[in-house]
Amino acid sequence: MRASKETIEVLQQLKDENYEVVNMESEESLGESTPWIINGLVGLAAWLSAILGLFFVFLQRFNFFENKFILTILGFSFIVGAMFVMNSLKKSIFVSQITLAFCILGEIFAMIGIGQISESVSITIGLNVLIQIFIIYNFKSSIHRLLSVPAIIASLLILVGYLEIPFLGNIILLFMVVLLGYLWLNKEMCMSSFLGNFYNPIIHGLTISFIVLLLIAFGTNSSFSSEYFIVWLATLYIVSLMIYYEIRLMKAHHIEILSWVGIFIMILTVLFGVVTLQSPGILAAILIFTLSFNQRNTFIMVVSFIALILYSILYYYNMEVTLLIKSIILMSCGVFFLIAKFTLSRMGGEIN
Amino acid sequence: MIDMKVSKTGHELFELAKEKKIDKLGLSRGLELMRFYPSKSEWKKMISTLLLFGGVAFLITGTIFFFAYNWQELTKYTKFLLIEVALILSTVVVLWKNPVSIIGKACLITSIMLVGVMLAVFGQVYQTGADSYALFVSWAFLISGWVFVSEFLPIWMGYIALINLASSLYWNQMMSDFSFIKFFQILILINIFFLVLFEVLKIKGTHWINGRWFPRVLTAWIYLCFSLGMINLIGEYEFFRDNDLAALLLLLMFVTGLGITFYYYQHIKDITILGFALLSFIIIFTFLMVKLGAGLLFLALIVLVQGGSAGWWLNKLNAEWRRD
Repeated sequence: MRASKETIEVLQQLKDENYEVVNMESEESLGESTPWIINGLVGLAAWLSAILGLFFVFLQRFNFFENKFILTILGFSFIVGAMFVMNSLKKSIFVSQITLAFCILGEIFAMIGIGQISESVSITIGLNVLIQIFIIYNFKSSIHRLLSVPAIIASLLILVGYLEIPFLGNIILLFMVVLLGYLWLNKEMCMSSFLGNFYNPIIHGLTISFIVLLLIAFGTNSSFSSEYFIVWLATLYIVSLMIYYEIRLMKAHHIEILSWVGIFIMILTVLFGVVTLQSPGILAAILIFTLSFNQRNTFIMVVSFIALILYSILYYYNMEVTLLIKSIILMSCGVFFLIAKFTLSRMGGEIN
Repeated sequence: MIDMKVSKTGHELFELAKEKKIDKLGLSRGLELMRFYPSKSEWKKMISTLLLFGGVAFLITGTIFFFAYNWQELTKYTKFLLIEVALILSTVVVLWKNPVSIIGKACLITSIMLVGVMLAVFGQVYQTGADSYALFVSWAFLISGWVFVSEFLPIWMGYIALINLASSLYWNQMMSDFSFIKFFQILILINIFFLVLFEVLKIKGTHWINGRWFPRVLTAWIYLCFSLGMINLIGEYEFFRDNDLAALLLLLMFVTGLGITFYYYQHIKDITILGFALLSFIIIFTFLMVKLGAGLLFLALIVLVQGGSAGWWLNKLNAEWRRD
């Protein structure tokens, strides 16, 4: 991607204001971005051929697959080899996709091997978390960094279920909410620090994991959710972050927090939290949608919007009332939304 | 809802900060200068649009659920009265506000959906026993006029999806000698018609035809139909037993598909559409190799070579087009 004309203009203005900036005339090849279709096409081919090749190897029935030590060593060799290739060779989509496939393959081999050697779920999963953290730091692949985050969250959840510690899920959830809030609200600081290289994949991975976790934990009436998660606590975390975010937004837009608009927004958030107490995903999706809107991140906006639709469907599906009552609730919500829309249009002057 | 230019510039500034080409203070000031963070009016517009379309979506789903409940207390006349009053009201708002305004579009979507509800209730009340394709065909026919005046691509996309659905159901329910090859031919023809219509209107400078998402979605669907049709032809077809003419037509259509790809390559320069075409070709060619009895390792190699060359060529092309 060449720096756009607008970016060069902004940089010139920064230079005029005596900020330290790079000379963009000589930096035309900054951060070249490849269209998603090319990445997707090459990635698909690399993955499909890796899987087909793997099937071929498995069908040959080599003896080393039955030896847990060799399997572990093979797994780690794949990981290290993939890292070496990825970090030392010239950046190419094809090489990065092939190394990604081999790295993940190596992780699977290593986990199977370690599981067989240790014969302990907690040791295997604990090691997986460490390996993922190591890979995030050392393997320069945005896709793997993105995938490592849900892998860590999933490992922690399996550990929670395996250790049978009640309501430990809520601690993981609290950790995720705090981390999400910190990362979304401090992007400028993170991108300017050593976190810059990891920021985008980690925030995307964490946000998607959060959405999926809420769906698993509260979208279904499984025993897993009732044993390891407290629904009202989850709603409380999300409402708290939402209110904190609203306060920051109001400050940024010079709106008095204790003005009627400020108080109205916060009361509305709490009321919404009470109404959707059993389904925290709805408020979480709205929160993520607004956070991504503020950062102009269209990808997460679309993801959170789809999540919002999904959570809303589940909310109505799980309501223990007749279809007639559900339809009346839906229509009332529709009327309420439209009234809110026209009220907002009318009081536009006061907000501005 | 989002200004893509501002979004792109902002992300470029973040990239520069990541590569330590500007510091945090410079980044903050740069984002402020380009108004990266949405203003109060942008927030208001976003919330207002969401409330409008959310409200309409809730009203429509509520109405569908209400009639799906088939409340026995309501007489058939009351049911029709309720739907028709709602239909008239939303259509009056469309006429009052103009179909191209945001409220007009929301009400037009409501009217379009209410026509579907009315047809479903008609079937429910009179137990017509008609095949389900009849409902979708009537629905598509009745809303055609509104779609033509809507000047709104999402409504067009919904309309095309409805026509595809109606055609699929018709083919499934009415054709005794159901053939996948013919089925995909029909779908390809329908969608090529709309694709050509879009491009002609775009070339003529029609103001509401903008962006590339519409032809991309359509071509993705067309190439999927091509791929499935060709896979069916390769996998199931037996010479001299099946309809050779249908197979020949499909092959001709595939050549047409290549023609479309060439057009996009030469004139429109849309890398995404070229990518769809190559993906379709890779799928068909790999399936042909499977049919010819290729082994796993050979298949892995073939996929690798095809994907690698396609990616290399597209990347090269993309760089060339950018330089231009």
